[in-house]
Amino acid sequence: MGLLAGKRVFSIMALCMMVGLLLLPIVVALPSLAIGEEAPAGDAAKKDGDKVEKGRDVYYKTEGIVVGAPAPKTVDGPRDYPRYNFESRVLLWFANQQHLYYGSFVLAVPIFCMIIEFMGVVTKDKALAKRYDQLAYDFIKISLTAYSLTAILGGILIFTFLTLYPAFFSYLSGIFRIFRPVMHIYALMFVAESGTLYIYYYGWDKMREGFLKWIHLSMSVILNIIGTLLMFLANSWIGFMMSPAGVDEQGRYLGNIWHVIHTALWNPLNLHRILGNMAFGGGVVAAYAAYKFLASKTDEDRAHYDWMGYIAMALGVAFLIPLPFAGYWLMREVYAYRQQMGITLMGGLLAWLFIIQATMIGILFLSTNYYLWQAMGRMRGAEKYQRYIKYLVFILACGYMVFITPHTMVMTPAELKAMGGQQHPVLGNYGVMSAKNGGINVIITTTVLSFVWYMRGNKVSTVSWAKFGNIFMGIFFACAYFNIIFLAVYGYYIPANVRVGLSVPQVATTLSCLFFMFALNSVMMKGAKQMGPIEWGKISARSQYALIMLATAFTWMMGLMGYIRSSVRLFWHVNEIMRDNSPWAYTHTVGFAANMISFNVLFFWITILFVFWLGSLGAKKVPVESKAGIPGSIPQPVASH
Amino acid sequence: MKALMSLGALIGVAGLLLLGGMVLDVVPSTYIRLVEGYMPIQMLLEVACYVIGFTGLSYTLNAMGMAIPRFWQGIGFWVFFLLYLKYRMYPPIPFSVRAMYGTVSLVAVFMWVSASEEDWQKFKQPIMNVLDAQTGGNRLLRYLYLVLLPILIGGFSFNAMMPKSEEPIELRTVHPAPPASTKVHGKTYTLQTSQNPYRVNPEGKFDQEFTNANIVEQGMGRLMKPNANPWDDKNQGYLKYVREGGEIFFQNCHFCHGDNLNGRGLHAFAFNPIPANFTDPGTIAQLQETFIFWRVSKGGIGLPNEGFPWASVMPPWEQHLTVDEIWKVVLFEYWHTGYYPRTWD
Amino acid sequence: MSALNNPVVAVIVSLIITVSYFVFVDHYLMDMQGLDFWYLFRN
Repeated sequence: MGLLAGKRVFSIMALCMMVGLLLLPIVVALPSLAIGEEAPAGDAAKKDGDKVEKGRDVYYKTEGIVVGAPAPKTVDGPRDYPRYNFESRVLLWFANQQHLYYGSFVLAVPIFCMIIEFMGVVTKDKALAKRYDQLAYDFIKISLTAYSLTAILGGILIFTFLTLYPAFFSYLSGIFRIFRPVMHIYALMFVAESGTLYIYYYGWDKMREGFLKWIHLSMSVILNIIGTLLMFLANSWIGFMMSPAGVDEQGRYLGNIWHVIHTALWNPLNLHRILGNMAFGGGVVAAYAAYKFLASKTDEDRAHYDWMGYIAMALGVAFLIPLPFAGYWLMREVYAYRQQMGITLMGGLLAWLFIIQATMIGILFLSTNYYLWQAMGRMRGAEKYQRYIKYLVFILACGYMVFITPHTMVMTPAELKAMGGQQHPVLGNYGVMSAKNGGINVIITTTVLSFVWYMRGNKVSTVSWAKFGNIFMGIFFACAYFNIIFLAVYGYYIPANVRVGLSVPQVATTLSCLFFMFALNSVMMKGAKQMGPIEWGKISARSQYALIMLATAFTWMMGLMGYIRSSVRLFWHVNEIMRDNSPWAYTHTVGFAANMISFNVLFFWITILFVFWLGSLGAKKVPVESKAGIPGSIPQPVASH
Repeated sequence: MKALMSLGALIGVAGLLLLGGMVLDVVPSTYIRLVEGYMPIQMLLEVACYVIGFTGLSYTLNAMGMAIPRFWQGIGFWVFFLLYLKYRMYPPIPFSVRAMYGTVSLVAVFMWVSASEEDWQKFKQPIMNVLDAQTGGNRLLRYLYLVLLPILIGGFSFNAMMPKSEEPIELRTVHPAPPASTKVHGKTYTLQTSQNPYRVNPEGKFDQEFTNANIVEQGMGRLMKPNANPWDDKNQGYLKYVREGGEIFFQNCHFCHGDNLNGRGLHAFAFNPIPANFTDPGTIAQLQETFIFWRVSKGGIGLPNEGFPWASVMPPWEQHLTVDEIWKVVLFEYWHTGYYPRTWD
Repeated sequence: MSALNNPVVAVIVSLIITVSYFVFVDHYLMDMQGLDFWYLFRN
């Protein structure tokens, strides 16, 4: 008993320590914040002499006392842009992208861990709870090696910055470090993150039961808060580069650190990145499960990894669905910040990349659907839905084709003459936003439909109003499709300023399907008659390739979108403040960019395979007893996720 | 059910015959017209009809005991779709887009035939047979492939290496991002906030709602609103400016942009690319009025760096027209096409 | 409940509910943005 109490005390102390670690950076920052408060009050100093120079914030339009030096005017040469016989920008691109891949992976996985561990704690089914717990543990194990790789890559990134872009980096760190210790806070947060992660991981076994488990769970919450804050800080740098604030027109810092951090695009970027990281993390874990599934030799392993892949996929997709809306918000803010920037992105120089992006989004949804259809193979009774899959394929393909049709088509001059214009009279209409919104919403609604079918695959509803429920569901989906397509067509007949508003009811239609139909379905399936258990592991290998495809598409798209976001600054280091005068201030060709992204993706997957392999090396040492905890029969996950 | 499926089969056969006729050039592609204003949705509906027809056909053939194997169903549907794109759609679709659609439909066919294990087995069987069955026919096929595949690949390589006289494909940036402001005749216009001074209501105030109500009908036929005829001399204000803009248009612009504003003027096909088609929903309908003002005054020569490959022979009209004339032409273009200039918010 | 399980009744009831729901969504979500959903039909 005394031992247990001691354990409790220890664990609570550990938790307090983590909270302390979390607060540490804030405590460190307090003095500087206090100075920050004083800065506006520094008007008193103005009376003393006219030496105090005032500047106007480029974004917030507030007056402030100039504290920093102006942004350096760089010249091409070894002083500002030292280099190897190679394009420095590409090296930096590579270092940045790899760091980001790993960074987002290690940020996302603990969030999954938290969710799964929580599911394990609240699940009443003992065997299932154990399984969830094991799964969460598996997840964190993968992320541990990845975590140290992230730190190493971060170091490489900083060295790359220091050696190849010293002038630019000293300006940025000047803003962030000399005047306000954002970079140091960042470093301290990183320490806090490491500490928490290690305690969380190594304390897993010790804190298995009862109260200690809850402590352990709260540790994961703290871990994720630290991780998220870390990312927000990093986002403030890219936000500053795209939409600077807190400095005057010459780039001189005006003493308000919050303005520098809280730029126009900071919050949209934060949201978009959190969701993106989660989807990406889900994809990578699903790919890991798929890889293990394909490599496993026993039915038991196959069952476990099938289940793991399914959960990871479901979590990833759950975050994928709101992602376009976050992206929409980001785009709106970009347009609000600088219309030019928005046009460069969506209609101008970078528009071709958005066509590629549309293709990738389509692939994501297509492979999700395909996976779900394959997953019906492991249930008895799902045959009644499989017959209709071909119609879903048709709807999906139509939506997809509309979604990826470029407005300005790639064609030879001869084809141009034959067509008689830049725009095709039929297909050109698919190229505008109205039709594309329709296309993607049809795709998402179909994905929802597939999910509903999957969830009721092996069940027959026993509620008294089952017949009405089914009819209602069918009609609701039909009307939703009709409404989406109607709105898409309607958009052609009304002026542009009214048309842009149509996307809101369109999206609302899709979300209605998502929420109402999932809710209705779970009510109908409560206590439903089962045609047979879900036979985990009895799934085709094709489905696992679909998961790998999903993960690859995620990775590729992340690389692409990062490139788009970064290159929209065109020839600026810091938009409209600090010009890029290196010889590489041009925008790459689409082909080069695509190759570079593919290279990054390939490199990431090779290294992450190495990480997975390391994980499996460790696993081999684990004695058999840890497996004995898992009962032979494979429990089913709760019906609702 | 049976009757319904037979009807479907009928549709399928009729559709196939029609498409066959188009492929063999017996029936012209324009035999069934693409109705202007409904073309995109018409295309999707046509393909949907075909799918329904094929379902009926497959059901009926099944009932008659002449089921088509899954393998040939898959291949057949894909070939159908390619032929449909090539022979049914007019004007001809560029190869790049057909390739995209072809790939998507191939993926879709794959998803269809492999959706359930049973289907996948059925689909795979003929392929497996060719690979390892010991019957005479399959052996013959194997040998054929042994000869044909290298020839095919050789042909591709030959095609790829053969020098071509065609110009290379260029990705055009059709609507480059505009500058924040532009200077025309000594006056600076901020593009985001400037307004067309002639887009006014009878009181002489800027009023987009009022002017939008007086443009031609968008949909079928582009008809003038009954009480909004700019060529009626009695009309003042907005409609008068539209008339003046029209006069300027027909004196200067219509040689290239066409008398129907669809980019097919007298000289249009001397240029590559041909002039902008204002009736397309992707040109002026997508842009702010000030964007058009900027483009008209600066012309092709004033395209920004971003406007790769700067392929435009549009003259900088500020050298020939006054600011007022340019605004009036812009006004006329929106009036005539029945589009509204884009506004933010 | 038994009346609802009659397919014809079920279809009619569902149609009424869903159609009115979507019309409501279209109208009010456009209205919230200060736009008019019925633009084309009013002109």
